[in-house]
Amino acid sequence: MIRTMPVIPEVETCIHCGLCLNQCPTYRLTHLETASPRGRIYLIEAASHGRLDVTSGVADHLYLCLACRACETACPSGVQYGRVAEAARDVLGPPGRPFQRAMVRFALRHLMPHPGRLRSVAAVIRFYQRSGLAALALRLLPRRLRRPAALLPEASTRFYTPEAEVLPAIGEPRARVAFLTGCAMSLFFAEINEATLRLLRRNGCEVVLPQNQACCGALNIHNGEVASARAMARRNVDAFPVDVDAILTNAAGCGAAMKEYGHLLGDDPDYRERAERFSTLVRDTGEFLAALGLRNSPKATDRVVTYQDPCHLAHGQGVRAQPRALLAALPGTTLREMVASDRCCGSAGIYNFLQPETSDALLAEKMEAIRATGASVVVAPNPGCMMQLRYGVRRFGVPVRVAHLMDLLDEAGA
Amino acid sequence: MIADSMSLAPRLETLLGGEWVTVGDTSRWAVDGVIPGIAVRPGDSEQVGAVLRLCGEAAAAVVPWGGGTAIEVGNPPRPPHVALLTDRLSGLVEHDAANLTVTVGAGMTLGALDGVISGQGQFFPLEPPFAERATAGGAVAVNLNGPRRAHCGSARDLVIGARAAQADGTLIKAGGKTVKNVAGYDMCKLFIGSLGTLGVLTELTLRLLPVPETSRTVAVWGDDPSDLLRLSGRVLESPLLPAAVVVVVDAVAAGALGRNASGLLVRATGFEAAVARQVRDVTAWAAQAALDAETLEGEAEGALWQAIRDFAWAGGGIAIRVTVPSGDVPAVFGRLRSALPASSGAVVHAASGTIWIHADPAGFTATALGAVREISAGYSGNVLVARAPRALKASGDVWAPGTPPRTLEIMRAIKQAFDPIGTLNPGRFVAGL
Amino acid sequence: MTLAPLIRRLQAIVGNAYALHRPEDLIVYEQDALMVSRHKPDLVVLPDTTQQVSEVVRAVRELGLPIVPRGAGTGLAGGAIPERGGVVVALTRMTRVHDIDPISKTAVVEAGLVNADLTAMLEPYGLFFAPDPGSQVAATIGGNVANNAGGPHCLAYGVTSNHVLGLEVVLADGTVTWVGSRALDEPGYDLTGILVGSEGTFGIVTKAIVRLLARREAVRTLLAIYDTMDAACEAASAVIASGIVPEALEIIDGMSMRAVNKTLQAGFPEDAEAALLIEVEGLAESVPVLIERIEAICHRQGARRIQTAATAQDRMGLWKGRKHAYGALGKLARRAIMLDVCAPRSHLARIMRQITEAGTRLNIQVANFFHAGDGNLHPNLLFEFDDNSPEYARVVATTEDIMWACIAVGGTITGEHGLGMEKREYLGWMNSDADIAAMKRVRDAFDPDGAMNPDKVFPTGRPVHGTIPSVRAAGGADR
Repeated sequence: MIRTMPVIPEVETCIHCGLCLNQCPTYRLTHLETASPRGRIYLIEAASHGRLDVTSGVADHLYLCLACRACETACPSGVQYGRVAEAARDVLGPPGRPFQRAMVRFALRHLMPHPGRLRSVAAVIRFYQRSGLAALALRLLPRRLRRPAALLPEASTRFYTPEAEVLPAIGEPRARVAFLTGCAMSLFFAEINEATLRLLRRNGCEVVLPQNQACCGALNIHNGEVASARAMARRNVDAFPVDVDAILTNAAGCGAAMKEYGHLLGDDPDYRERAERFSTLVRDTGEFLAALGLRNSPKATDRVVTYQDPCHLAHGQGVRAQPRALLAALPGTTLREMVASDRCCGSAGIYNFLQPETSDALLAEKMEAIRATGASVVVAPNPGCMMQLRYGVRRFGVPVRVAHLMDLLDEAGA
Repeated sequence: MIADSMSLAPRLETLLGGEWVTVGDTSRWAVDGVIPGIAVRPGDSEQVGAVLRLCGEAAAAVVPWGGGTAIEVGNPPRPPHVALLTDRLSGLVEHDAANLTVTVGAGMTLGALDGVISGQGQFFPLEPPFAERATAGGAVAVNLNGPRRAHCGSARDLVIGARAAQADGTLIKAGGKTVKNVAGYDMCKLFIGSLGTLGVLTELTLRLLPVPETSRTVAVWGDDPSDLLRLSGRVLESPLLPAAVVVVVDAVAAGALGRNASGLLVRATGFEAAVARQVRDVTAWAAQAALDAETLEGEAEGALWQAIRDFAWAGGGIAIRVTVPSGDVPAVFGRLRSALPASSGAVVHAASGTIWIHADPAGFTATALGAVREISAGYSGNVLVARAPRALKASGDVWAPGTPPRTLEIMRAIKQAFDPIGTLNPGRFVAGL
Repeated sequence: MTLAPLIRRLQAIVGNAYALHRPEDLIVYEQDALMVSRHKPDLVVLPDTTQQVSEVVRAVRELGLPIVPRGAGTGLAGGAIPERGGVVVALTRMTRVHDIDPISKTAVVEAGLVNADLTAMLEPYGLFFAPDPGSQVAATIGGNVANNAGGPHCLAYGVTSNHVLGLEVVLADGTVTWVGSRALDEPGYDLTGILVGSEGTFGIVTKAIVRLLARREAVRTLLAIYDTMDAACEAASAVIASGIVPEALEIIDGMSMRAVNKTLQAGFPEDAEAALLIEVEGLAESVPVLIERIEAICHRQGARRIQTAATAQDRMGLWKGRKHAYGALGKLARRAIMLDVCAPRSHLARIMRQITEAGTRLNIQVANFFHAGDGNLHPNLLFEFDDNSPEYARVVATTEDIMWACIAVGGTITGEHGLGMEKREYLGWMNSDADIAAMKRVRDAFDPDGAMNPDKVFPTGRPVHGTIPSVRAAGGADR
């Protein structure tokens, strides 16, 4: 695979200071410059200027990145590495060895954009899990495949299906919002979507659930499928109303991606302005509720909770304080911070399937950090993180409930 | 020796002028009983260099002299040798008060230095024994530090610039007058504590500190030094920032302080409120340990610290310095006590892990010294026999270094490169360097 | 020469994953944080233990290749650039802490440990490692040792060399030895002292015995805002001259503060031309007295406004802002070069005026943020052209004028970044031939073949910037 790398202007902002190195989870594991943001930028820059061939080795280095964007938080020059990685990966195509890459490409191109097809796949997974085949598979599958099988979350007993296109506010209306039901959230975490909607409505939000909405496209953007991601973004821009106070999502990855639609469709004259308007409206549900303020006084539960910053919430959207403020509003709940709460848990979209070793190493560290807090609940408001952490608590035997922020708020009657 | 000095003396006289060269009547510059054939008093750096070159050509060793207060530190000199006195290099080059630095001739005594800088509310905190008479160059070359070492820094922290005359007569400078400087290697470090074996210091630039507004010392008296060491540990692990924490042990030490007991002395310096708090805390901790405490200030306090500073060197006797990691002081000290003759006294600088032992030569044998070394080595410490009767010194290297062989090779290579024919204090430093 | 046998041997020592030889693995080691030069190494090795370092050095030296030690590559003087090729030995995998002795306040750590990680690890003991270079979140202890790193809080606590008691070093012949010890006053020459700041030219430091300090019980931080740089400098000098040595005393100019504000909510004023960032630590009783006196001096020196950090978060914000200043310059110009020079603290205002004049004369924009308390200046030259353009000569000329101005008042051409490649040709401006010869003798005692990090520190006659340094006499050798 020899390709030419175009010049990515964002790369020029890097001053090579290295302050990102030790904040990068893959650098911390390998201590290799090629596994650091600065190293990856250097590779891209060298390839763009003809000093380096774009070999499969280069692709491997660029795909070892979790796209967690911790480097963006660390970067004093404001390099938006997420965008750099997305642009470079779009040139490289999806990750993995040829067969794997074909599978990933197929899924990104032919499943992700189509909610119906996704639902069918999830149904198969649900059947597989409930029929006892899963337990059997975990024993019989070759070791290489056991892990991805174990990683699959327990599919919800039902999928989330909006009961109407507009759900009225309960009590005095305070805001009108649109909600992205999301693919992972509605297929694997239907209860959380339901909890989110209850919570929003109880807090005076009228919620619009656009029927034509699609997956946000984040996985495609991160895995070298920008063209299909653009199509999904356009579909959402078309589907969502903009005469709302906010466009909400309870998935950090989706929020980060949708806040970038303006950039993603920046070259599309028909969509650019609408996409920008769309992006300015996007909020994470936690971010939104913290600003709106909880209306009802929650009931007390004595417990210790720890909070895992989803990368695409903390690094991608700079949302750190708001979820914590909401937790602090729950009587009886003590928030005990874990070490490096904003370090990636190793989930990173489909990364845990593609880079199991790195993912596992990060998960092991994360589980230790969670265990050390003595918390009984770990809150991680993002489906990818929740899947990974649930796999982690099973595998490492950590007696902790993995919950979404919306779960706890809804349970407390907030 | 006579032949050498016969031919060397006239050349030195030509160089320096007859009045600055003494031949014959030189016994006052004897070191460990070895009398120099000639004593010279060069007037500037260039003359120091020229003396070294002439001596080198005549195969005469040179023993640099400052105030002579610590001239005994080191192995005995090898005759024939020339005593090079730095007393004429005693001028003030520059006191940049606003920069908190001073540049002085290496032969300026620390007493004279204090006279220069104290008027502007500054001081140089090295405080080696007999600081009034010790010269800046001598104190730095010998690297004996004082009670405030852990708080204010040692010679290696306080010397930021130097000029030195090398064995071939050329002059070099190291460092400068900025507190941070990484232009080239940190050559000052080579001249600190190397006993003049790589070059003769002719000028030094020193960091100064502002004289603290208030100083008081809590003296806690007790019969059992281990109680006092425990209390010193409490002080050192507390948030307090004492300027000095010293335990003086046994009759000899306490005698020098006029108290027939062991004592813990904690010096607090700085603003009144902070000093008062430290005094209050230490006094309270002493009371909790059922120990008597008193607070000293003014002249009494000054006299106390001077006595501690000079303790091992005052009067005759053997002076030994044991240095260990500060956390190991109580354990090391406990073991030393049982190994040392009852007549020995000790001053323990708890924060820097330095134990000065003063012993009566009559009761102190090579066996006792061997025991001290063994104890210290068990804690990765080191021992310097700073002053001792010739026989004891001659029984081996006064440092008896445990330097790893390859490290010693590098030291030898450095010495060889800086002083190929062995002019500079040959044989006197560690492992004969 | 085919490297295949050496690659196999190195793979056997460190494992395949850590003996790098493919172009895409090597190319990222062309540079450190000095962006004006790049050279590709022949190979890169990342050993995990001292024993491996020793075996690697032996294997490489048998073939006569040079060795370039490397930490995190955050150095700003090009000290880790393999100008002659050879093998880069990166210590970044060696991150173990072998011993923390909270009573003696020492730790034994491996060279690849990141400075900030050490301090984080010491938190439960109430201890910290004092050197805090701007790069401390990434820079390794080994790199700090090689460059004798400084940082804002070195004003009161001293630079790296004041905090290193001993070192384990692998010499060019592969032998492993120790210098210094956990106890003070290790007999013999102070090889620890001379190794610190030797920029990897003596050997590869693999472990360090570091001194730790206890966290002070009280800390206060204030920002004094001035309308001119001149007034800010006079105020900094006045604080020091009054006999107060704060833990940190920094100056940041308006341009830099505004640049930082663009990327970070640091809390810097938008409307100031210069600010003093001052921090004092100590006993609860002394800190308020100090602050009061410093405030009085700052007011007397014409401060427009003084704000104190009310919360720990405010304080962290100010420091994060200060440490991000260099990076934030990326927002002001396409290229920035940070200089690192020192002047005696009594000459601050004068030197800053000369720096401004040099920038104006040569038409180069200069941003400043620096350690005013110890006279360590960091003029940042901002420009839009490439370093191979003819315009670049103006950058070099500005650099030279600034260095010369510092030398003239008894200062130095580098206070904490080192000479590396960047400034090696200027050593002769500071030092006489005899001084340099003496330094070389020390290097030769450690590494007679000049195998370790060759062509660093000493003048080579080959310019780094594509511009030959002006010939100026070693006037700095004398005051």
